[in-house]
Amino acid sequence: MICDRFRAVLSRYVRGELVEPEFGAAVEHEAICSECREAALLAWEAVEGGETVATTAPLLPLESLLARTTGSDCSYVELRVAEDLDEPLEVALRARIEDHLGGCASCRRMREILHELPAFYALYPVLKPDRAFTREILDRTIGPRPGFLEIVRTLWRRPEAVFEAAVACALVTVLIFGRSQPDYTVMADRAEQLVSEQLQKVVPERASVHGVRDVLAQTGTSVGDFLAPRDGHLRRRVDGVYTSAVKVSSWMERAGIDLRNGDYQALLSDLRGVLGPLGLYPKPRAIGEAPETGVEDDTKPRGKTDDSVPSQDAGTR
Amino acid sequence: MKSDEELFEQCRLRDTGAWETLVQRHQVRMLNLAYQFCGNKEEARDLAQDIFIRLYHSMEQYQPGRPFKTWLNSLARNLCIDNYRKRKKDRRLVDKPVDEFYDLPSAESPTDHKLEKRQRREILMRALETLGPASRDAIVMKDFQNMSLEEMSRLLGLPVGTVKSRISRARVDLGKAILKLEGIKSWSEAAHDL
Ligand SMILES: [Zn+2]
Ligand SMILES: [Zn+2]
Repeated sequence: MICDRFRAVLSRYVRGELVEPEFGAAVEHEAICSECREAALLAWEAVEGGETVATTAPLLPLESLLARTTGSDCSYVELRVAEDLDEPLEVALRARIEDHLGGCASCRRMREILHELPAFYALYPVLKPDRAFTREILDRTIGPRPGFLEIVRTLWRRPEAVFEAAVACALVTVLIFGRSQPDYTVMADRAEQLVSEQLQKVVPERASVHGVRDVLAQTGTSVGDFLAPRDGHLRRRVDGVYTSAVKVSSWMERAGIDLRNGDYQALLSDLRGVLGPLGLYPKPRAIGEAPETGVEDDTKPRGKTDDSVPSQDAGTR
Repeated sequence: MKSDEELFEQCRLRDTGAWETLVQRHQVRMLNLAYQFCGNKEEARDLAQDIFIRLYHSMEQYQPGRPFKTWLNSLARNLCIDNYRKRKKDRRLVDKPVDEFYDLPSAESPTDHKLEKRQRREILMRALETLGPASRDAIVMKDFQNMSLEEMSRLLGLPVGTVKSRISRARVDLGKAILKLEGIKSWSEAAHDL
């Protein structure tokens, strides 16, 4: 913007009627052109007489102060000293100010304290947002992020329930068995992707994600090794989960909460709670030990098996 | 890295990931801006959260192409200043202390550097509390947030000259308040020495 243009929009500018991009251009011109700045100040005072925003102590426009003082007035000097912090005063004005400072202890003290301000500012405490702070903002705007429960609920609610439910079961299967069952490869891949995405969302640190997945995969592998030669058996087991959809759903809810809280012990205990009665929870077996055989019989009592796994170590690995 | 404007545009298309990135990118500055305005941690937390919630609901009014930072700053500043005005009014009834404020005078050794720092911080926070809204605003924006005169001029809708004199006035007011509080301190220390 050039001076002529600035003068043309000046009266609208000081009345606050100017809009972008003209407003921005006017601001930029005013910043670099002292004549126009002076003109704006006069126009501004003519229109507003100083302040537009109500304050408890109305500001006295500097220039009108100047008009009323000879430069010897303390409040005038104080303001000029404050201004000098950002931009050195003109030589002549500075000489007048120095003159006053030489004979005025109170203005000298004010200058000292004004120069000390940056050191004071540096003492102001700096806050760091914690995770709950961010969490609350996200909850209050986009809402809580979907957990297992939401995903499972969505799956179940839709009409293609049979397939969806199978996917949900596969989710459980993958959680428990890892990806060791070839028959379920496609579904398992999709499910594992879902699980992985969910885990990454609910468990913020990657390390914990891998931690919990390691535990689950290990558990899964041990059961998978055991069940692999008995595919029909596995199918029956998964069907069992499927028919217990309601149970699984509420387990999902608890599992989601456990994951959110990072409580893997509780998660494993929930796993046991829902899968144990279905005979789907792994038998106690040390890692690397030979797979057990002959326990797939549905009629076999399960109580013992259910309570003894997993070991405490598995949960905290 | 995506610009704020790009992210905000994605937020308008309900991209929750973009929103989360935007929150994480600006939360430190907003939290501290709020704290510089109100001097109380709990209140700053609420205030900063309100800024983001207001920002989230302001998406529809945002004109694409406008600088995002200006948009956020003006929204944040409006909320902070409203809060400050309200609080000043409330404080006439209930004198709510600012953070880290203990009794200004202390009988402990004045050579203790840490103690002196703490006292100076308390003096600063107390002094800031005495400022009127326009002065507190000027100090926070210029001296704490390091905004340029041009940015402030746009934000406040005031000519640069007016912004300048407002800043000078605010610093003088702050200086006076500090001197007064330091006076109370040294007087009390002198009393201790007797
Ligand atoms: Zn000009
Ligand atoms: Zn003087």
